[in-house]
Amino acid sequence: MKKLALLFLILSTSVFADIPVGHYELDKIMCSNGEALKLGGKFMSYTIALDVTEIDMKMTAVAKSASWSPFKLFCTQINVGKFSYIEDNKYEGYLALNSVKCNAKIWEGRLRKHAFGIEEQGVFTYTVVGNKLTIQNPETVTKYSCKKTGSFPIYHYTLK
Amino acid sequence: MSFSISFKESLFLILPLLFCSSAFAQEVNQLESIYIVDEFGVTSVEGDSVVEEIDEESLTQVQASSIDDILRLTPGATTTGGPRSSGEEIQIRGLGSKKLFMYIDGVKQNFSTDHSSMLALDPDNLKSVEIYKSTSAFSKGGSIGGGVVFTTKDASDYLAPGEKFGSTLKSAYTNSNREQLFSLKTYTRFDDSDLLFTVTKRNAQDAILGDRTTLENSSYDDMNFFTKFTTKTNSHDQLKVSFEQFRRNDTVPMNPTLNPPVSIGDLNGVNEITRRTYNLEYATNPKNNRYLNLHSTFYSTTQTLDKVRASDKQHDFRKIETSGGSLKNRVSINRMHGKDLSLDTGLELVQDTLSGERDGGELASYPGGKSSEQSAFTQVNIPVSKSIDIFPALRYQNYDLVSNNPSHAPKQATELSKKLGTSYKPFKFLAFTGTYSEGFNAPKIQDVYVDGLHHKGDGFFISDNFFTPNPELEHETSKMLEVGAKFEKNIFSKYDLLTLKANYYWNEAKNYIYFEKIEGDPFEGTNGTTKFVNIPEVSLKGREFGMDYLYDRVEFGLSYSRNRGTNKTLGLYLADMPADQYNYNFKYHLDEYGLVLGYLGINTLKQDRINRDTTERTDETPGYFIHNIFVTKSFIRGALKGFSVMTRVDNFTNRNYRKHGSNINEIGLDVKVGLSYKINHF
Repeated sequence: MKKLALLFLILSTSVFADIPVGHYELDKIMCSNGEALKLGGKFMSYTIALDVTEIDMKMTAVAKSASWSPFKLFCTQINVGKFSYIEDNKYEGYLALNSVKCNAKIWEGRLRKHAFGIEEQGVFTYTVVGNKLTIQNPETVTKYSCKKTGSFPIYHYTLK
Repeated sequence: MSFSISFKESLFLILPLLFCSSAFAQEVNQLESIYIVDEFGVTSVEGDSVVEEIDEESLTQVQASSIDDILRLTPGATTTGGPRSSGEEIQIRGLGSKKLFMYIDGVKQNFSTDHSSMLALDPDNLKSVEIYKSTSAFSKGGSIGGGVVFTTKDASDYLAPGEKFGSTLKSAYTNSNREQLFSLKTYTRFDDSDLLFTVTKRNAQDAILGDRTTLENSSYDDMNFFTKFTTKTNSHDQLKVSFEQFRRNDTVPMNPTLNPPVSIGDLNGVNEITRRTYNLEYATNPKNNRYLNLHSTFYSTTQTLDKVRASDKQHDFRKIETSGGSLKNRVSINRMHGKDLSLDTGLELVQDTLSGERDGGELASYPGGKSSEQSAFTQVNIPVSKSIDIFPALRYQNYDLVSNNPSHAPKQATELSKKLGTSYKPFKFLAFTGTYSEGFNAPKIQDVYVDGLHHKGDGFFISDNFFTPNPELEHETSKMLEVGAKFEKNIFSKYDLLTLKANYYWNEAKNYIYFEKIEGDPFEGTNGTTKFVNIPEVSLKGREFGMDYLYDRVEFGLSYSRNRGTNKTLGLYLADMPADQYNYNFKYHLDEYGLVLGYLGINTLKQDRINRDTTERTDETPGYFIHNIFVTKSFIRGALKGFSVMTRVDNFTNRNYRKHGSNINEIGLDVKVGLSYKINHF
C-alpha cells in the first residue's frame, strides 16, 4: 500500500509538472478515438521535432522522400509560438507558421495552405511522464484525418 | 556448380597471356573476325545517315552480358536505369527507347511497360550492332531520333571457307556478379545452305557495386535457344529462317531501376521475361536485273513479363505479340558521273497485340488492345556531279490504336515526313554531309489507355496515385538538321589512316511524349494522377567529334559527345539527358601471336543540368573516369588449336560511380574471363 502511494506521488508530481525544457521528437500522432495516424510510408519519412523553452516552442517538421523513391521531395516547415502555463497540465499558447521550404515549389504552396501542426491561440492539455510528453487540444485547427471521425489529434513526443 | 575468382587469380590468367604469348606464337585466325556485309541486303539506303557500327570483333572483345556493355563502346548512345540489366533502357542522344526504333534481325521490338524496357536478347549471338543517331534512316521504323539494329550471326560466320561442320563451346565468368556463361553452338554447311543451333545459359548472383556493397535482387538466370537456316536457291536469291526463344528469371524489384529495401514486399517479387521469335528473310539481287534488289522480312515475335509480388503473391502478366513484315527494293535507274542514280522504295507493316492480366482479371496499367502501323518510303539517290550527291526522300506513316475497352475511343493519325540529304566530296579524303529529316513516332497503346492504381499513398502526405488514360495524346514529330564532315587520309605512309569526324545536330520535337506524375493533395482529399502527356515543344541539340588513327598494328581513337535537351514549353531541362563524354580507345594487334590488347577509357563530365525545383528523381551526377582493359588470344595450330581466351577487366580502378539518369551506382571492378573452343568435326 505504501509502495502504491509512493508511485502515485511520483506519477502525480511528474504529470502535473511544467514541460521540461529541451528537444523533443514526435513518436506518433494518435486520434482521440484511439486510432493511430500513420506517419511515414514506403516512399516518405517524416521527422518532427519540438524545441521547448520556458516560454517558446519551435516545431520543425521535415518530410523527405526515401533515397530510392521514384520522386524527390524534401520539405522543411518551421512553426514557432509562445505559451504560458495557466494551471496544472494546461498551458495557453499558439504555434504559427514561420517558414516552409520545399525543393518543389508546388509543395510549398500546399503546405502553406495546409500547414502541419499549426495551432491558433488556445488552451492545451499536456502530460509529462518520464521523458514522454503528450499535447492535445480538442479545439485544434489542425485535425488531419482525425476530423473524419470527429476526433482530434494527440501528439506523443520523447525528450531527447 | 559454382566457382569464384579473385582479382589476383584473374591477373594470373591475364599475365601469362601478356608475357608468355611468344610460347604460343602463331598466325591469327583472321577469318573468324572478318565481317561480311550482307551482299543481298539493301545496305546503302541510309548513305547520308549518321550510323555507328559495332562489329563482331569489338563485340567479342567487350564480352557483353547486356546491351549496356555494348553501348559503352560508342559515345552518344548509352543505357539508363542502373546496373540491373532488367531495368536498362537504351538511350541515343538523350532519347529513350520508346522514341527510337529497335530491330533484331529486322524484327521490330515494341515491348515496354511503365517500368521495363529491357530488350530480351543474348549478346553472345550478335554479329553487329548499328546505332542510328538521326531520323534520316527512312527505311527503318518511326522515331524522333534514330534507333538500334541488332544483327545475329549465321552459321557461315562461324565456318571458315572449306569447313563443313563444327561446334563452339564457350564458358565465361564475370566476377562482379559471379555470372557463369555456358554456350554451345553447332553449325554446318551443305551445298548452298547452312544451319546454326545455339544454346546459351547465363546464371548470375547479386552484383557487387563500386562501393563494394551488394545490389540485392540483381541476380538472374537466362536461357536462350536460337536456330537459323540460310539457303541460297541460286546465285542471287537468299532465304533465312530463324527461331529464337529467350527466357530470364530474376527477382528484381517491381521497378528494377530503383532499389527499395527487400523488406518492402509490395515493391519486390519474382519475375520471368520471355521472348519467342519466328523470322523469315528473303533477299534477291539478280545481276542482270537492275530493277530488283529486294530485301524482305516477315516475322512474329511474342514477349511476356510475368511478375509475382512478394507481399501478397499478386500476379501480373503482360504480353505483346508483334507480327509484321517489310519490303525494301532498290532500282538502279542509270549511271551518272560514275555512280548509280537509284531509287529506294519500301513499306513496313507492324501490328502489336497487347494483353495484361492481374490475378486472372484485367490489368488496367497494361491495357489490352491492338496497335498497327503502316509506313512506306521512297528515296532517290542522285549523283549531281562527281563530288555531290543528293538524297530527297518521303515517308508516309499511319497508325491505329484500338483498345479492348469499348469505352476507350480508337485513335488514328497519318503523317508525311520529308527528307533532303546531301553529300559533298570535294576531295577523295574529305566529305561534307548535311541532312534535313523529319521524324514520326506513334504513341503506344499503354501510353494512351493506361489506367488503374499506380501506387498507394501513405495516408498522410502522399495520396494514392492513379494512372489516367489520355485519349488526346498525340504522336510525336521532329525536324532534325544534321551537318557533318569527315576527313580520311593516309598521313605518314600507306600503312596508316587518320580519320577525323565532326557532327552537329539540331532536333526540334513537337508533342514530345512525357510521363507526367502529379501528386495529389491529401489535405484536400484529392488523389494523384500519372499519365502520358505531350510537351508541345522540345529542343535537342548536340555535337560529336571523333578521331581514329590506325598504323599497322596500332589503333587509337578519341571521341566526344555532347547533348542538350530543353523543354521549351516549360523552360525546363529535358530529364535524364546524358552527360558530356569522352571515349579513349587503344588497341594493339600482335597478329603473329594471335593476340589483341586493348584499352577503353570513358571520361564523363559532371551533369548538373537538372530541374531542382521539381520532384524529378534525377540527381546531379558527378563526373567519373572509368578504365577498362582487355586481352584476347586465339590459337589456330598446335595442341591448343581451336581455343580462344578472352579476358577483360572493366573499371579496374574500382571507381564508385553512377550514370546520369540512373538511381543506383554502377558495378565496381569487374573481371571477365572467357574460354571458347572450336571443334571442326569435318
